[in-house]
Amino acid sequence: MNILGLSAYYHESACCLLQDGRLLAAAEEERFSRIKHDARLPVSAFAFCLEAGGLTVADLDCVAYYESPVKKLSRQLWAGEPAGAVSGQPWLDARRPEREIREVLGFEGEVLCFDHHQSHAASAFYFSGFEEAAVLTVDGVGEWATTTYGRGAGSQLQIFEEVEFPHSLGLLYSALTAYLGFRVNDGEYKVMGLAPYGSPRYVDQLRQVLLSRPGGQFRLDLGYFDFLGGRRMWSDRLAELLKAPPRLPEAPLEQRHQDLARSLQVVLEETLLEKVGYLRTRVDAPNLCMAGGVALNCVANGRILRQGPFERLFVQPAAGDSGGSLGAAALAHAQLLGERPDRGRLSHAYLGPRFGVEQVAEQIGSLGIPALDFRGRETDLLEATVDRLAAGKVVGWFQGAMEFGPRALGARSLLADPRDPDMRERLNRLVKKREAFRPFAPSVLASEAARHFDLDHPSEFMLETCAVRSPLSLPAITHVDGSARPQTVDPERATRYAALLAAFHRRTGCPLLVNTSFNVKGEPIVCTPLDALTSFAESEIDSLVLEDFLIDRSQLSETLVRLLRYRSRALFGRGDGGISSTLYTFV
Amino acid sequence: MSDHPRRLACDQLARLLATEDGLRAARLRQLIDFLAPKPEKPALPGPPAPPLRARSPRAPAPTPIGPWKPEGKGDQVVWVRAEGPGLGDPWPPQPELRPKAPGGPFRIVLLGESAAAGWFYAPQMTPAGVLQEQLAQLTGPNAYEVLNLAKVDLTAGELMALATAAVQLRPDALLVYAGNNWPQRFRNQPPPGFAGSLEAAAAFRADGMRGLARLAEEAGLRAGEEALRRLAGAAKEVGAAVILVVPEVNLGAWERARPPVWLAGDGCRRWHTMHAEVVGLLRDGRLAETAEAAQRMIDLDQGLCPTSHRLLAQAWLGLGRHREAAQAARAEVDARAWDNTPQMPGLTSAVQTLLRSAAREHGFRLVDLPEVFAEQAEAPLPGRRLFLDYCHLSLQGMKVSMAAVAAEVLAMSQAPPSGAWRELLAKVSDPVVPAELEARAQVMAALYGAHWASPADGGAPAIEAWIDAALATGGGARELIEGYARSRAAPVEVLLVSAEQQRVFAQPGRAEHHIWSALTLDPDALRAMARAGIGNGDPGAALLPHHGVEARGRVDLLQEAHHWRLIDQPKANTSATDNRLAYYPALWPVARFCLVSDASRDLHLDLVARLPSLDGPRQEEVAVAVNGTEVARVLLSSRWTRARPLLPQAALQPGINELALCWPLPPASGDLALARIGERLDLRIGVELHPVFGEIARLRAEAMNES
Repeated sequence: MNILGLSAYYHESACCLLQDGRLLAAAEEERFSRIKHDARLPVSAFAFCLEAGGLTVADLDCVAYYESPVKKLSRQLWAGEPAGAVSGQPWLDARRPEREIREVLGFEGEVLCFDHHQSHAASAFYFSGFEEAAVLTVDGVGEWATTTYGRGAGSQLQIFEEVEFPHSLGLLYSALTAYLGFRVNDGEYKVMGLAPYGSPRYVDQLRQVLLSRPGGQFRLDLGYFDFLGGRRMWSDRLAELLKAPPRLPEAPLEQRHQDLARSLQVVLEETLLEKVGYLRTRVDAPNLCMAGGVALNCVANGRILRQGPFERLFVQPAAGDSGGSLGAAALAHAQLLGERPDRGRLSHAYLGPRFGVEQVAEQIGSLGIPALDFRGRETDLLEATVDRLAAGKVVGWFQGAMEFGPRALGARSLLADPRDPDMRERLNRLVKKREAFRPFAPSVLASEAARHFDLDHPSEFMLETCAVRSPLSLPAITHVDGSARPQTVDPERATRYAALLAAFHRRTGCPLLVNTSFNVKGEPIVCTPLDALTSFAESEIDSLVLEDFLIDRSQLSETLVRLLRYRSRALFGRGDGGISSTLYTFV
Repeated sequence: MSDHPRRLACDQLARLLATEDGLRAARLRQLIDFLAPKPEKPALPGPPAPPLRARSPRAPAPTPIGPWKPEGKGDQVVWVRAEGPGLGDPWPPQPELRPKAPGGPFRIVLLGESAAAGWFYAPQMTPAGVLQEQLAQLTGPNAYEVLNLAKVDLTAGELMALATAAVQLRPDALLVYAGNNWPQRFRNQPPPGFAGSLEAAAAFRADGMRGLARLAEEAGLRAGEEALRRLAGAAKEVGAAVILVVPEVNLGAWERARPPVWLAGDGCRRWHTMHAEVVGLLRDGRLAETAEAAQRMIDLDQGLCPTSHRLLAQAWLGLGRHREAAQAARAEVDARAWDNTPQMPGLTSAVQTLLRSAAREHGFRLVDLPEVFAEQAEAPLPGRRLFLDYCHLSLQGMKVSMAAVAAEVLAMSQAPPSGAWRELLAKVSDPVVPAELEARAQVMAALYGAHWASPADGGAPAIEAWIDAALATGGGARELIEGYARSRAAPVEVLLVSAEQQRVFAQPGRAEHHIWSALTLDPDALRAMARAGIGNGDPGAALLPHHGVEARGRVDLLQEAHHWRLIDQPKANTSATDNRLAYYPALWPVARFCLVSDASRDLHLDLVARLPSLDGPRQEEVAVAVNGTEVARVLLSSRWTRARPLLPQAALQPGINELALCWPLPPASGDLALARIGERLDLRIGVELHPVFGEIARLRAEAMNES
């Protein structure tokens, strides 16, 4: 049974392939199209999933779509015509998803649609490995639901309560993200990262905005918002309440911005804790599964696990909308076969394209790059990489299958020495080209994690924060509040990455590395070796490890750098559909 | 919830809207709102509005001119490029522009597109340079100066902005050589914006495909008209004259084939049947019959298909009826403009007419290149003597066109020796370029033809002539061609950035990026090179390691680089947002792919394909051919079907092989297809205007194990 899960048309669109209940492949479209947050029908991710399964579209039994277009349209109608919708082609067109699955992907078989939050819930529960669990989904909005409470047992997954639009924790967070001058659906991480710099002096005001209700319910005071058909998220009343004007994009960050971010984070966490407490009263299981965009708030997740009533927490690595494809596929499997898909826990996120060593060798050879060739000499490769890391270099690390979800987990990562006090500033400014306040996360050998962090369980997906308790000084990965967002690396799941950490440990006594996603600001994480080389060329990464090959910056010719930039612009330019965005333009 | 009834109503309405009728109703509702008269804002009492162009005691602040930014240098403003020219830079490379000094030479500022920029010879040789040289030869060295602001890819909108900015350089005359980029195609995928889709639906309802063609033409004319109006205003403001050049295109040696859009009833079947016959008639030299049959094709496709016009033009040429041939060739250009995928600039007769009437209206001087070139072409239709490709000028083309411009300049500035351009042409020398530059331009002309010219008979374009010319020129042509051939040997993933590419692009700003960056193995070009003895007569052999089926074990022929011609690629020269299909749609009766093999054994084809059908199931055979020889037939249906035909070793040749899938004709579903297109335009859903012969989800060549 080949089931293709698909999410599209809002955030990162994505596809996954579930083959006889086993998750074989998953990827976001943005990685192929090189358009960040690409929400279009995921044609390239679709092609990748088929390739990974050795299939053609004719071999698929079902395409499972991650939300119900008709229910979503109902909510859109209720909310009023979106700003600018008069020219928006998709507006009112609930038939578009299935039509394009047929016409653009060429699929002839059964298309099943599942509710947005049901897909989120399934993506968490069915891949958690828990036989029984409570399930909490929280995001901006799907169809009507914005938060749901459910229980999963065996192949059964039931949502028993939901909070409906427009009352939404995700929209609250996004509205304040916009208020703080960051882009909605993009800048929420930044707000979370900004929060520890502030003090919670706006908490009382925000409690007037977000009103708790009994059970799983809460309400937003809509007078403070303007997202119902408006052109912005917040209303003037919010500015009056906060007694502070909104921050303009790219304007300097001031203390009040940091305080507002902190207050928002506090209110979010306390609400989630309260609702998790409620959920525990409804579900008699020690396990909690979470999904939805808000479940990517790793600070809240950490607090839920530490202070909440559940013993174990599973958040799947692509907890946002792209992961909805996983849930839809799992629901289709359960519906069509009457059984739960793969009962094991999703233990890694390496579900994307991989490139063989010989393929990489062929490409590097054809590019004429005098790379160091470590084929058959892994130890030497690791030692050479450690040489560079220990010398304060930033290393692009490209190994195996690409990660699914927003986190780089050692397959498409930028690595650096976490002990270096200047590293964070350097990474932000020269390599990632992003805001100076943003923190970096560490990878740590799983066996060493407890020595450095207040962490007693694996954290493979970097989806929770905890306190740094290290005997080492780790300024590059320790946030201003003493926390970090570690990835624990298990040699069984990420063999070479674990070996690198071990080698760095042996050399330096530090079993950690800074691990940030391999991309520059405004671009998706790299997918192919050529993407990696392009990012390498565009930034000030010092060295690049491509499978068994190591390339130092000095080995890139100026002409190659120029050509890579040109190719990137030409292939992935974001023109208006005219000829200027093409590779081979006319005149 | 408090608004429970409202919620129920929304649920109910959403269910209704999710039907086709529901969506249609919603679209009509949007249309009614859109078309509702907009209340005029009442005039409010208050102070009178300031005049649109209030006179300021101080001069307005200087504004950028394209990439040149204003800077104060002493008491003078100069315009400086912040960065040097990069790869693919569309602008002339001069680092600095200065306003005309008082008492300086008569200044002409050239604005225009790639043809004006001297594409393929630029920046070393340009029309601006030729004009400057001709004026110097005619009047002495310091009387005139020509400033080159021609930009590759310039649109009508950009011309407006550029003209307005360029007058800051205090020109005596603005020379505008533009219009090739003004015609617009009908954008069917994705559907146009709201107003555009309304217009499209209405135009289609009123006049079918002709309505869509008219709509596209009108859009192009509107943009051009506005640009000319703004140009006139800008020139008037500084008292500069305007010389308008009506461009000409290559009518004789460039073809612009495109299949017909859906025709009523069995029109498409009949058209393609006739097309095959007419190509045969033409090949056999039966010209009168060709002309008659081509005219019937035009009647059938309503004159909207460029292919039919080209066949007619070829027949008239053969019959010596040159005037009719020119008309037919121009009709080909016009017919291609609205259905322009891959997008290819070309001056339509409507734009030519617009330019001529604008000259009359605004008092511009006019250089009418169609008239000028008609006298100077080596053949009945202007072709390779004057053009390198579809619109870019050869050295001779630059000489002739600029002599005609020089005549206008001299007449306008009342400088001797004034006279007819023919007389001046006899007095000026031929532009001379180093052999290396000439050879480079000729090689690029060959490759451009290989990539984009599309002969109606499906054969290889005549690129040998340019390759031969380049080799005769010398100047490193052989090395350049060999380098290009080697560049095709790199793995597909790095085809555009390989070491060979880096060697070519070591020099920044080279124009070859347009051509060398073609994502194609370029079999036609490689075969033409082979005939010229390049790569030991077999440049295809170099492809074997990275593209050969036996070396790779399996090759995905749906990868764009393996499509036989660049122009066959569904995404060729379209944006990333267009044509995002997960399968290959065949728009011609034969789909061709480049299969590289060492011919050491039999191969298998792994094919998953279907035959589109609008009106019920369908099952027909598709022929598989290798190098023109049918090797297998597979039975396909309207649902995806898998087949594994054998490609016998005997049919293969070492190196490049042409693998062809020969589809059955589309069903006689024209009426249904046209009705669907109308409905979809009403619903503002993207449409495919052409019948699709076959769709391919997988096409892989696989090496069989050696026994």
